Amino acid sequence: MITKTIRLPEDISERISYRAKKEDIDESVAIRQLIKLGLREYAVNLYREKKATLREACELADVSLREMLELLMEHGIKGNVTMKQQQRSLEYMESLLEEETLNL
Amino acid sequence: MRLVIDSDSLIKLTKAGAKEKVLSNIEVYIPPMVMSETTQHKDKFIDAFTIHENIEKGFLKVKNPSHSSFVKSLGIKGGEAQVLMLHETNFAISSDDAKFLNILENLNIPYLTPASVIVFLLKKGAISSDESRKFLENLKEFISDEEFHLAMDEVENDN
Repeated sequence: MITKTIRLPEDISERISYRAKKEDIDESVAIRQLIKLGLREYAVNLYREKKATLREACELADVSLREMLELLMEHGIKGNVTMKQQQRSLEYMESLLEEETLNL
Repeated sequence: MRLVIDSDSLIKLTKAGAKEKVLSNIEVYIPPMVMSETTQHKDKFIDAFTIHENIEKGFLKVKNPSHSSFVKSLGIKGGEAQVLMLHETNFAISSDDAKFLNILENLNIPYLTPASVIVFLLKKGAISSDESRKFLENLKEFISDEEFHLAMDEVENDN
């Protein structure tokens, strides 16, 4: 582990103390846990906004691919393919069918 | 058709119960990283176990990609990078990841989403309308509404 020094607003510091007390853990453990939770949320948001691939989101959230798919579903994200992308995909599918017909 | 498939698309087609139909009608390849991602915890997840079995039996082929400094320069990592490296003439790519699909579009590489793979099987005559509806309904909880509805329209309009 590495050591980082950060400045925290008083209200956030109070919330960290609250969690530490509630969970009966050190404040440093509470901070690490909350950062981890925040990273998961951040990964979910990046995937939702199409700014991260599923794999990048997994790395950020530090979970496996299947765990990430479950995490996304918990957040109501079923997939992030756009209408335009699906239209292009179907167009390509049609061209593949034509190619197959020509090859017969 | 020869298809290179990424982990996301393979897992979703497996969960939808469509994988066996896909593998019996399309020559499907995966790179080693997709293999390790999709078969991870095969003792815990039934879909991971069946993918492992498909590989063992040779229905799903694992192919090592050639190194590509071009792909590396794109900043893509992991399975997606290997999928892209495997992409050759006559290889289609299947993915369900919007950011990766955007990268493919920018490179003028066409792609198939898992829902489009189902529609392809229907139009090819490999599965019936009822089967394609069932597979798409199973896929529904894992894909975007846009992907689901456009694919379902194709099925409903198919004669």
